[in-house]
Amino acid sequence: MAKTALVVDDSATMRQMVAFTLHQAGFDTVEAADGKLAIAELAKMTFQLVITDLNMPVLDGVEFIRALRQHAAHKFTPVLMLTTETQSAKRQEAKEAGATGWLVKPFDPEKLLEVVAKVVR
Amino acid sequence: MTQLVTSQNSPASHNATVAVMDQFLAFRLADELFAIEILRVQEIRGITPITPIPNAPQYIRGVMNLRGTIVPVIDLRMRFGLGEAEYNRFTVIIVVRLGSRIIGLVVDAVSDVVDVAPGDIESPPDFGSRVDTSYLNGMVQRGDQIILLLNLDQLVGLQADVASI
Amino acid sequence: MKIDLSAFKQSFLEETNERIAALEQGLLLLESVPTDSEQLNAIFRAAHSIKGAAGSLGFTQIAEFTHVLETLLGQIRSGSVGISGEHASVLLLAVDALRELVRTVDSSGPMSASARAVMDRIEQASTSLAADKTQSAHPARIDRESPAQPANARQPLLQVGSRRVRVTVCPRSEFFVSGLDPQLLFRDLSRLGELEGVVADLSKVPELAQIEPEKCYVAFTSVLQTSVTDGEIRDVFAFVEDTCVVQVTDDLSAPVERRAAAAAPTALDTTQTKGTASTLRVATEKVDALIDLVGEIVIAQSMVKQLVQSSGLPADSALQNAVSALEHNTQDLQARVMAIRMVPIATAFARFPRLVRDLSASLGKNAAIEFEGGETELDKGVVERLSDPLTHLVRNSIDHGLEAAQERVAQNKPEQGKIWLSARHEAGGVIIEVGDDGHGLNAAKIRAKAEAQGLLRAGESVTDDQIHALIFEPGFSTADVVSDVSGRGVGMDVVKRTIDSLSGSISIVTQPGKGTTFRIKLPVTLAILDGLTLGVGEQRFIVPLLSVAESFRPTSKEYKRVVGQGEIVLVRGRALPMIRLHECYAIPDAERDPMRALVVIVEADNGRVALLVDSLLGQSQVVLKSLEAHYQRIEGIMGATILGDGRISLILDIPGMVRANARGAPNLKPADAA
Repeated sequence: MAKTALVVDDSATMRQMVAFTLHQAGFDTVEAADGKLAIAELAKMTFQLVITDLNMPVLDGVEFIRALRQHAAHKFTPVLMLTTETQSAKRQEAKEAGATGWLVKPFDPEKLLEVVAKVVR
Repeated sequence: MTQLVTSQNSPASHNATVAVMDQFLAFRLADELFAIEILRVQEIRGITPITPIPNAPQYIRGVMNLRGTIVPVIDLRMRFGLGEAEYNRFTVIIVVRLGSRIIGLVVDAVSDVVDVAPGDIESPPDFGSRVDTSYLNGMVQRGDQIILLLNLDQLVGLQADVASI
Repeated sequence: MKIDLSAFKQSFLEETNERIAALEQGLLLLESVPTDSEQLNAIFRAAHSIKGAAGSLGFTQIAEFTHVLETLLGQIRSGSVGISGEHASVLLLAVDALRELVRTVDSSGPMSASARAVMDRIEQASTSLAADKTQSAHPARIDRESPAQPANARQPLLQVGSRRVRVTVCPRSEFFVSGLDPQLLFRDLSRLGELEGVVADLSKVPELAQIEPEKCYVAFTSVLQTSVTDGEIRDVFAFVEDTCVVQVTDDLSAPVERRAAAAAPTALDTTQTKGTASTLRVATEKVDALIDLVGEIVIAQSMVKQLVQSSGLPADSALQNAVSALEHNTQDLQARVMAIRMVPIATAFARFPRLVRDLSASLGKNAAIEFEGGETELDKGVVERLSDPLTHLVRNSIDHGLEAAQERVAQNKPEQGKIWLSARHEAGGVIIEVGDDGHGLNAAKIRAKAEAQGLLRAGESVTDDQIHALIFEPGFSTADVVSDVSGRGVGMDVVKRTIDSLSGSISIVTQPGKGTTFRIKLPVTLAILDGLTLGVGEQRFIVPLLSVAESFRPTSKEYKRVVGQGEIVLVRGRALPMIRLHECYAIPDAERDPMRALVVIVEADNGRVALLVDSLLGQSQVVLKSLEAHYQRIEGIMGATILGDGRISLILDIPGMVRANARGAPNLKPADAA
């Protein structure tokens, strides 16, 4: 069955890179440029993986994760956050909001796939 | 020879042990045979109405309508000083690609497609041809015929600046 | 598997340049309102995003640079005093350095000395801020020599050889909230060696009725036969440090128990910015290909129309009606497709606040810039090409137009000089104005210079407009001191040439003591225009309908040959030069007698001429095809189009023709005409 990932980041370049990498691993992807648009996508279909930046306009990563966990279909969906090493406090907050794991920027595609493999069934 | 354009039809293999043949399209101008790489040839058309444009060198006859694209037309006889000829229903225009440009070349008639191995190509003769050797990339012999390989890039001397009236 | 990310470089460069522009804009806004938290967040995010993407794509210099930048911005953002003037200046230098780094992204070698210097300054600013503050969100700095270490990297204990390890996992009850499945943990463990069964500890599971399905009550134990290090075993649990208790015991080392350290939570970043409209990023080549295709559909459709109209079918036949509908839809399609390439001219205006600020400072002038009509839309390509000419005109206004502060005050003018950029639509074209309220052009000075350079003969009678227009001559400059910024005289003629190449025109309105305004007129779109078809012999020409004033057959009173001036036509008493199209284009079989032909008066901003033609063949919308695609630009010709019968018709560029004709006139010719 096809696995679909939701990629949330306000940088189109990052989104495309992550999506491209995920495609190599057999994922389909849907992209969203901020938390609010991402929430809209959650309503449209069920995702098997969510990858989100923490620092975004409109609705940022932590808030998005919180909202995502309220969403019935995505209560237990693995969520990976993209973070920088300087954001340890924010990362902790995101974890408390329900994030599954994280990737530290900058990361290479191989690392991304490694981490994805860890959290996706 | 330089190839500015890679056609989608070009063979993908680069096996060094197999002799690579280049294909050329041969055509007639006055009583000489010339040829250009077939990969550069987009199509061959019968003579089409040509609209003259101002302030162009004499050998640029004008522009023609190629399915909606406006393409300049060069008379190769005039370019090489081989004497003018009347355009008749046998006159042919070879449409070639030069980088991103498309250009039409007026020739007397189209001949064959010729296979040429790189080893077959000799230096162009210093004498015997009326065409300036700077326009030639070399020559090949086919039987008792000599085919002169044209250097397309030298052919069209387009200035970077604007032509003024 | 090695994944190649080089395809994203272009996207990254585009995006980064946009973010740099946003950063700069934010900084300029912050100069007026230093504590605007929305802007502080915006600029922080811009630096942060650039860093992230740069790092992931391996652009280490950019990543390094933006890292220190982000650090400083983070400090400023979390402080309470906002951005100081010093900071703003350093940060603007950072913007420039960053642009340079992006420009030189492909060059190898270490960071340029100037960029390194700016980076050092930023770090100094950062250090002193940290020293000042007692409490700050001072993030850790990366070591410049080594790449960023992931937070969950651990020092593995030295273990060699295969050994048995007991792994106990006690998830907290809220374990599932994080979306991780305990099974996955053991799946990962099993990849590290031989997993000898997993035993569940069900002691905490409550009665069925009390079970909350979203809580975890089960603990697991397993033994792993492995030769990997403890570090690698612990890595499996990296994400669950705080949601479960993991024990890894073996015979050689003491059991290691880990719990998450609770870190002090920082304030949530919930800035609301303006919602971004839903947009699609499309490569311009795709849009251009689409526009070309639509252009060809229009031509094909007009061929169909012509064939049907000459077919002799009755005007209300089904086929005619269908063709009408087709034409209608095609024109609609064309208009919409053209609109895709239209962007507001504000994108060209965007760089000016910064430019004016910097120029005013470096030239010792006090100037402010105002904008009007930024929402006026133009073809994207045109807007891009306008950038340089507009920049030069603004520079010129600040440098030569505006007076020094004291001089202005002495003239009862406000101390601060005013520059304005405006744009508006007008009759199928766009008017863009660059103006200042400075001292205006000095006709006498220009004249003197022109005479000195031989552009004008002493005593030659010319209008003021003609004198002003001399500043567009190459090499012309009245600046007493050639300043670095402008005054070398290489600017104005390039401005004019660029405007010409856009089929536009530029004129000057100036008043001594009051100011100068440069007025640029451009066609809105260069791809479709309303044209009037002219017949000359067998050839067809098209002139833009907007440029046609009138046409008539001259009588012997209205047509004259003037010695030294060529042929002229009199229109209501005014003499206009007559251009014989059949001569320009060597057309045989054309009508040579003006009194048996037609004269079409066409006008541009720079003058009027009369064109001698055989006939007028009607109006139509034509698709302009550039000659430059496969040939080159020709002065006096805007492009060509394909008529309904497949023939090519050249489209005349009236300003170009007026100019060319003027060059042939005896006045204003350079004394050493080539």
